[in-house]
Amino acid sequence: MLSASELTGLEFDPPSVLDRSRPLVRILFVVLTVLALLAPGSASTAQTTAVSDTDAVLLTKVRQAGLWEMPSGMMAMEKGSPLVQKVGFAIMMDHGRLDVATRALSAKLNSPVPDQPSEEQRGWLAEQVAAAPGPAFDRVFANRLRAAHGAVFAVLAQLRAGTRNDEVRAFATVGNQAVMRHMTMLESTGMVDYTALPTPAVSTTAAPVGEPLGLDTSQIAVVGALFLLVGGGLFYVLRQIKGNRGRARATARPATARTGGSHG
Amino acid sequence: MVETWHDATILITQQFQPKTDPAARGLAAFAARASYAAMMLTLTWGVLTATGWVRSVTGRKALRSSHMVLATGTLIFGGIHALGFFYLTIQPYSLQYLFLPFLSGQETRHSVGIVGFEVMLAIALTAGLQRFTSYRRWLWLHRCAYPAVALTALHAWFGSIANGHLSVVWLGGITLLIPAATVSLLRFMPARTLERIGLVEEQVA
Repeated sequence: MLSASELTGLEFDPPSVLDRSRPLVRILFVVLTVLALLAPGSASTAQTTAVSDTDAVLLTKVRQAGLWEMPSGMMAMEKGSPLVQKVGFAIMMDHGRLDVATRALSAKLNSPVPDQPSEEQRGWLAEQVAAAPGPAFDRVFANRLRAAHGAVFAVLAQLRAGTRNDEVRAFATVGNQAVMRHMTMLESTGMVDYTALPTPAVSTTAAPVGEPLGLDTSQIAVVGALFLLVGGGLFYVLRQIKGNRGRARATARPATARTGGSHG
Repeated sequence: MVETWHDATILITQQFQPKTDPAARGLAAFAARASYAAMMLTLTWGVLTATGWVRSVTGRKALRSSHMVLATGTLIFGGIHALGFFYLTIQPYSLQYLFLPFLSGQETRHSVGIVGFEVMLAIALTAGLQRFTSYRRWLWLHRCAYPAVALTALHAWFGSIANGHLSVVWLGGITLLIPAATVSLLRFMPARTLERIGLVEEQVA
């Protein structure tokens, strides 16, 4: 007497090539649909590596700051009071490190940076060269550098807050911390005339509501779609293979349970 | 004088060249990624070998061979990844740190990776010793691969976060993780559920 599966097997009509390819066509359709839906998401992640004009400005600003502040630091070590000498040395060393990072990032992002200070910065250097060693030099050094750092600090903060590039963001963080440190050190000399500094230009209206922190929704969508697509697709393929095999076996002989439980 | 400032800048900054070893670190990172990919595929192939779900397509022999090749690749690349840190020219790690887990001062993510690697190594070494021990004991050890892969995957993910590489590798990492996670999940489902979803044939005879 034949079992139920054997009877089913006898009646089983082998599927044609067209029938067999239908599941593949369905899978392909799902894959293409999901890829089309994900296209905006992938574009948004691609933005994280793009270099904008403002990123180039950041590299230029930091590079030029180093180009005049390092010689300033050297001069401070020769002409300044003991405290200013220490401050000058620290600023020079810090800018040395920053300059290495700036040139490395500039080369990596293919965003050229100048190798000369600006006209204005050359003027400030000339003032320091002309200043007499001692308190006169200390005053010029502390005020010129503090004012320049204040200006760069604002630019750095804006670029740090808004850049789309991951590496520029990391670089701006380091630069921002360095500038903050330098301002504090310059102020510690007691030579800074705060009344001569430009007044802050900040909107007095309420701060805009920022975007909530956390994972980007497009990234969550990509992960979810991947799980559905790859996990679901794999499951579907396994089921299809298993189903075809089961049917094929059923035509030949009664099926037996295969759980694979006896293997690793 | 202006012309000399640039020269002075270069001179001063020469002493601040990167204090890392980018070549060795790059190789270690590549080996880590290759090992992660091979590890996930090893697990997937292993489950498929054990369950026979795609045996009708490939045959068990081919599946098992691929599983072993992938496992070997996982261990070789994993070993190169670890040794890469021993051969750093600046601040290299000691062999003791690289191969002994839970040392004082060792980062947890490193300990986790070392445990995962060494369990996998034990599994690979004992894979051919099945005839010298009881099957149940051998199987118990071989199934330790599941937690070992989970630990090593944690090591990989936390490593990429710590090194700031997550934004580069997350998509590939998840894509490789999903098949391994899917088949592992299916592997440990009750037979009745598998029967219902069509992965196990109906028992009729």
